[in-house]
Amino acid sequence: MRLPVAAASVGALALLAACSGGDDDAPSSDEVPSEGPIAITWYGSDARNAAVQEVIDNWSSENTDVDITSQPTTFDSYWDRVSVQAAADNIACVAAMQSRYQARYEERDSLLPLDGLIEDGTIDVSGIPEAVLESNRNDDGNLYVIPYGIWFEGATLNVPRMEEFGVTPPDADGSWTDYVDWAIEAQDSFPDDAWAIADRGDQITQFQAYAMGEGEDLYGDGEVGFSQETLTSWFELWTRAVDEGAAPPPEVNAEYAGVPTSQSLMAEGRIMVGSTGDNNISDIQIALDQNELGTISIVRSPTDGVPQVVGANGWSIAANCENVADSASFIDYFINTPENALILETQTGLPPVTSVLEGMQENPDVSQAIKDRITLYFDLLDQGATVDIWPDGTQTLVSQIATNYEEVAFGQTSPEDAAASFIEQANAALSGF
Amino acid sequence: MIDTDRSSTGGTASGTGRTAGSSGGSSRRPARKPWTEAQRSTAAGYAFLTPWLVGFFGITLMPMLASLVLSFTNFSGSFRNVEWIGLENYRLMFTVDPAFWQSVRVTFAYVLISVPIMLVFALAIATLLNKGIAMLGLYRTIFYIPSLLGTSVAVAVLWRFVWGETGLLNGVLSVVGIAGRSWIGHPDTALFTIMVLNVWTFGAPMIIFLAGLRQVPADLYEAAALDGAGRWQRFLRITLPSISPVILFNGILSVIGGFQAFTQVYVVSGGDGGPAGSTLFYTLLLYQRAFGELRFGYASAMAWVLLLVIGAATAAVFASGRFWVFYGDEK
Repeated sequence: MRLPVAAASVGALALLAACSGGDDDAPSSDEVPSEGPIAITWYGSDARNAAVQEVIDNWSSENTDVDITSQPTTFDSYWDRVSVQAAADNIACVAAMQSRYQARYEERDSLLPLDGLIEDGTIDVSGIPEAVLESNRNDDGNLYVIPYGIWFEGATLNVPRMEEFGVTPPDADGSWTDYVDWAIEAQDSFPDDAWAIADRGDQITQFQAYAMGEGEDLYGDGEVGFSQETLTSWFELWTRAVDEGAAPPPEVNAEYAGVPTSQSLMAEGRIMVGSTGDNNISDIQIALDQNELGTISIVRSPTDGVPQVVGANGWSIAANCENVADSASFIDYFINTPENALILETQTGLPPVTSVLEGMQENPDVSQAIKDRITLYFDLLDQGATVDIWPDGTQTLVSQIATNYEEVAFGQTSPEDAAASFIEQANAALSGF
Repeated sequence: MIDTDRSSTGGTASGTGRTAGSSGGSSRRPARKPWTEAQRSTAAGYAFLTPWLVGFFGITLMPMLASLVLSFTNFSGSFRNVEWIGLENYRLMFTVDPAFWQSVRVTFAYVLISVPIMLVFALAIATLLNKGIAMLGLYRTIFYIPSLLGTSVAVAVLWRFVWGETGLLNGVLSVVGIAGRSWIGHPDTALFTIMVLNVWTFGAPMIIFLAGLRQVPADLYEAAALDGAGRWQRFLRITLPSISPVILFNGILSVIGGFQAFTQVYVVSGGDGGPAGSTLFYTLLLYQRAFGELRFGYASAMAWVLLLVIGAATAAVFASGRFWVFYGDEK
């Protein structure tokens, strides 16, 4: 791919496609267009995409008059594609969104406000907990995204593997500092190519858990919501873990940074404590099972007792969609049909509708691992967890904090300077640089 | 035959037409002036060129001009809030964006180091293949295969397999008692592995060098050998000057390709330019700004700066050719 041409093409797409943007009003079902084909686009692994496709096929068999096109892809390439489509006002009618990305499309008028379709019952959201639904609401008062899969990040433990080496598992109610202290003590029991704990210094979501434990958060009002001291101590925490040999060397951590979770150090049985989203657990377990390297379990995020946040995959309808009626009908079918949850097997996240989740808990065909996750999710909701919607402009900070931390880990800069640099860049991003 | 008939008919009609036109009010249509052979040839040329012209203006020139306009705006995917901001994107690029200069350093290091090495390697292999060895076609195909694979996702996996912590290279080093490292995960060596990937895809310049070597007159070598010139002297005094236009051609293509290198680093680094920004190529940053952050105006400005740099570098290589490129018809 030759980038200058590609970048130039972006401009062309943009200029050539100067069509209308979104509508500030939220139309009801008798005000929306209802003719023509619909495209449905989403992201995920092959297994997830196949499950979503099966749901689409089932809906299609009941709606034979609707011409449907499916556009699944991987998570990373999905956002590149939607960005280009948004610039050309050509997003698929039904487009998957994620809580960390949706703000950028909502605020560029790329999505249709769904409140009118919700009020007249076209999309039934009555089964979704209010805290989950309402945390998706944009500052302009509109709801653009309906959750279809909830996920939460937590600490992951390979207890059987620890016990194999005679190590007592850590306390699962502590903070990341407690985990690192445990890891430094336990490391001597593990072989040279295995580590007690994964290096989480480059993970912005885990820093968020740490900051929450300090009474702070990632984002405040137009600027970062944490102090330089907190980020500095986060970087120092993980360099201490690495220096003590309890976490992988930085070059190993960097090498594995971009690999799928099914190929991660945790999946190779070389990490005892790590972290990931609950919907990635099954991929890791499959890899562990292949080599009989233990069993992974997930516990709540190490926020030191503070209620953690959850993430959500959601459906939106594009502002440029010409068949909103059928698009809304599909979304309603997707989230409210209990049979779909059994097809999806939580690969897209936990179903957002409480009665569907309760039905899964009572279903003997649903695995115990999924039931445990549902129980933990209900616990998190009881503790006050909300969906964490990231502000526009912050998506780049995921890789930015990794770069800043790597500079510390490789001795190129100090934790203080790296923290100051990250905060400066984060504030610039939040201000719209 | 048909052309001749049409020409003669047209000639007759033409004369009549002028007369009719001058008399005014005649019902007879004015005849067109007959096309000359040269005009017909030109028209046919343009007709054949039409697909290219449509492509050039529609897919290349127009988008480029559009991106030039956008580079002076804050366009971010919606025309509702777009504003003309003059040179602000260029000011931000040079004075505010912390990643910009890092990407410039990485890209220049890549071009200045990997392009010469790749050309030397390609020329060396082409020279070996020009010896008239058996199964030349097979070797040529084998050496060209990496060029076809060089930017695939499979190669990203392969590169980790070779340069990773538990990779092939470290396996070999451990046999001789050397402790390896993750070459691809360390900022001191990650860019080096990308350079090796570039050198590995030497197939295209090798084929061009091979074609150039085939054009060197054999009698020059024979005469030089009779005069006592050794193999190395013949290479320096005959081969290199004779193929210097080909070297210039390959050099320019490789420099342009080097500045535009994107896919290999995107797949190998996972798109983040890590570790610690050590593989943050200019094109990767441009891509992140455009598609990761929806800052199309800013990314357009970056694209135009890249275009100017490539233009300057190409001009410099061309200008240097005056001192070392030898054309056979020069006196």
